[in-house]
Amino acid sequence: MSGPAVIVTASPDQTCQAGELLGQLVSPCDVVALTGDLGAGKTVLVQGIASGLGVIGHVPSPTFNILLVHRAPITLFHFDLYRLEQASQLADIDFYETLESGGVSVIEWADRFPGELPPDRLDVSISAPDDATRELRVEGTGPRSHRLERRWVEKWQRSTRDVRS
Amino acid sequence: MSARIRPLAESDLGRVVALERATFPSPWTRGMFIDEMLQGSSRAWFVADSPWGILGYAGLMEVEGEGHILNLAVRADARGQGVGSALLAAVLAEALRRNLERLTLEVRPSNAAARAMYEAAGFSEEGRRPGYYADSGEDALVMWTGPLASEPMQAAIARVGERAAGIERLAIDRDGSGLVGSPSDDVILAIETSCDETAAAVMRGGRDLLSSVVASQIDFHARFGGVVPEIASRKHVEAISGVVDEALSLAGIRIEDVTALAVTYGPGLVGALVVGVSYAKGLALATGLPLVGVNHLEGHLFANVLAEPDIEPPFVALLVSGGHTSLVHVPAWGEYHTMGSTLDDAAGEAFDKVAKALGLGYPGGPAISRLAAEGDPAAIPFPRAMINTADLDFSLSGLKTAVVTYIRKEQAAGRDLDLPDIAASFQAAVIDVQVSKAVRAVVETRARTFLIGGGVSANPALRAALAKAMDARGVRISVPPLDLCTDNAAMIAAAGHFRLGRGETLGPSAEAVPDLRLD
Amino acid sequence: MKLTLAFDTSTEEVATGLGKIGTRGVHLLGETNIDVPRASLTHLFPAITRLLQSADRAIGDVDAIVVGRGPGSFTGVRIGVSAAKGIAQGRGVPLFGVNTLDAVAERFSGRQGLVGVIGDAMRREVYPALYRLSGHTIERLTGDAVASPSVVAAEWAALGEPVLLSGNALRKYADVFAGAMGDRAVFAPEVLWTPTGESLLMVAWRSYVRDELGDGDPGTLLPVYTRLSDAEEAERVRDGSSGPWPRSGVAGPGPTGGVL
Repeated sequence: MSGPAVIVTASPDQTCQAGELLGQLVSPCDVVALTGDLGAGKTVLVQGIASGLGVIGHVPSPTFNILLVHRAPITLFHFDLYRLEQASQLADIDFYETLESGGVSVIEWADRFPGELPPDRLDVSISAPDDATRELRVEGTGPRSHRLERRWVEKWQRSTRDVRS
Repeated sequence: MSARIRPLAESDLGRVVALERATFPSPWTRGMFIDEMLQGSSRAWFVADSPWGILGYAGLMEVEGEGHILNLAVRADARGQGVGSALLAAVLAEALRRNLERLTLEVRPSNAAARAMYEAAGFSEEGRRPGYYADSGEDALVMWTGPLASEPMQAAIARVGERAAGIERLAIDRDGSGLVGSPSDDVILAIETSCDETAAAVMRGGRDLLSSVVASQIDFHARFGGVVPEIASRKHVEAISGVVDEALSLAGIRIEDVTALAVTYGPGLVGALVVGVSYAKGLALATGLPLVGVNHLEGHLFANVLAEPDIEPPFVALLVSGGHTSLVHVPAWGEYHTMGSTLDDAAGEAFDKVAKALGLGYPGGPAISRLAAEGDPAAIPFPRAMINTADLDFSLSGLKTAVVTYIRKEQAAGRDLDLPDIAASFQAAVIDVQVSKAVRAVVETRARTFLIGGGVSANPALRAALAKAMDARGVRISVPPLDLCTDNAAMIAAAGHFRLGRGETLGPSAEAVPDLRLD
Repeated sequence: MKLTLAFDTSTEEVATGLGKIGTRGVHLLGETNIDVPRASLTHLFPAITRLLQSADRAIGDVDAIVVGRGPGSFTGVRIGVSAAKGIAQGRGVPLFGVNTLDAVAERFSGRQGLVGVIGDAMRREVYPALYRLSGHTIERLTGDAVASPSVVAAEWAALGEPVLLSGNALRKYADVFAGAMGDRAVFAPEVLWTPTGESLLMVAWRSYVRDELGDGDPGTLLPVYTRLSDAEEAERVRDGSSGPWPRSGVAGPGPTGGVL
């Protein structure tokens, strides 16, 4: 297997389900970096992750709030860097310390500041080849996230048999 | 005489001890006062505070259903003006609240003025303690009241109150930890740092706005002499002191004139909230003033009241801002039931993202609104997500995606985009759902008043559509002016006044709560 | 002599101290130090209250405030500086800032030789500061900066003399320094890695005797920022605020000194 694994979903519900599987696998201090255009389904994926973590209640888009915190057995830190313009603003929102504080951090629009992301993280890039289908390219950038990538892909494979890699 | 009676705070001790030494030949030490304060709920201590310092103090000790008045003292230059009576009235009220049977105290036989005051208040001599006063060997007169609930005592207590007229009294709540019954001219300094803005406001009596300042309108270059880059000048920790100074200055008061503090402690960005909460706690420690924590969302509800003071619950409110969309039922102030909220994108966010997809500027709301005025809202049938679901939740991400998809397809097909039509159709889709759910909420709760608040409530088409729908049902609609829709501290002061009246103060261990809910 | 309340929340600890600063030194009346990771806001004010009570003083007796400006935890520094501003403005007393790394170095006053303090800057980076101690003087050799620990370790290894190492970044990177500096890396015990109330007051005293404390205006006290964007750094240079190493509580970071 070379290059990122790909998870393909056929509907927002399936994207959410994929997220739920990931939510069941993450552990404290894991970081997931999400990229994808408007409408790709980043927030839908995070809603699935939240569900897998056991978060109760709405998981809305953090675009304006930049960071929304959700209580669960492992706290979910849901970031959205869409509105930030400079890397210095990341310190304003306590970004670096939050990532190391023992929760799971999922970062939408992570590609705004690629240099600021931790070296060992799970990169997930979502593209939309057509209106309904979504392709999630999944790649761990370090040893810890590689393990997470493999376990997520295996779990998805077992549940649907629809992964190309 | 501008004085008020309030509970003793630790920061008063220096002045109280000084007054004790000046008043009593065998004065208590600071350590003895601290011991008293550590005795907890069996004690109640009051000070008479004024712009000229502490004019007097009094203590009450509860023992087995009876009360013992300790150390009632009035500064020499403030005697004869009702301060002693006001302190005594506070002690009597506290004794009544605790259902104490009777009160007792010791007084020197030589202190004619004090004896006269106590006799007029229903105390009478019932014994002596020989040689009680160590400095002079004087006896102590032991005085007792009759049963406080009896008619003669009630009449005596009323007379004390009359003599104390003109001195404000702040009563104590059940736990002795806060204040109830905020007087009509409390002066609240409110601080708001929950998100992008740093703001402060001064308000009297919960209604009278003396000043409201936001950092983005202050020239910080002048203040910092060029040391701080403009980008940072709106950051909270740089701006907070200057914003508070400006608010006090515009209100024409000094910090000594403030009677209570209020601060937003959630929801919001934790890095921003901690600045306000920490600063406010510092002010509270330094001044001894009560500090009330305010929910930013509750603040938005009170913003409407600032604009239209006759608004009262029960009402339904639609809070729509960049980061928040929810429908709230308010049967009474302090009772909030979220009937529905956004599952994904907040309304303001949807406007901004579609505006960006259309190549319009930031902020997107006004840009779309302007374009939409020239377009046909029926041109493109964008989905009205969740308009028929039984609940009152909102979902705008599907609409956002539909618009973005539509734009891409038109461009891929080589067709020109009709921006006004797209803007109008998108806006209509948002508004249709907001209005539909708002009407259902009003019908379900049978509310006669409807409030809209938050930044997006500035959208003219949304206001017009809601106004039309509510007018058709005879429901009053309240829409605040724009400067009250965006983040400000005036609304925090108003909400703070309400919370102060319920005695809900923040303790020294209180935290900022970034995910604070309204209900 | 002013009765001064000092505190710092820039590290995982809340340090407070109460003392009188005079021309000859600091007369310490009390200090507290508690380990409270990411919970400074909860513990700072109760700690101040306990400190005052134990010294039989009230906040009304305090004539001046000293606060650690960082560098350190971003949120921690904000909490401390904001609290200090609130107290100072509420009391109408002056507020002075001290550099948190200086207050760590101060703990070794009386020794001879080099002391290197490294604060945790997250992102696999540190805030380094190098000092030469001699008798009871402390000379800071480098300005505020942020750098990777291996670069700092290599620079300090090249100094050719032993360096006493301290600072809360040692929890993560002690082995990096041991590896690069060999036996020239001397590790201070962990209990000496953070400021104390006394060390904060001592740093303030040093500025006081040099008449470099600043004007005490709470409104212009700023945290130490070392993570500026290029644009902001350029603006500060234009404004002339990247001048000589600032010793007062005002203004932002100084030059990057001899490190990186």
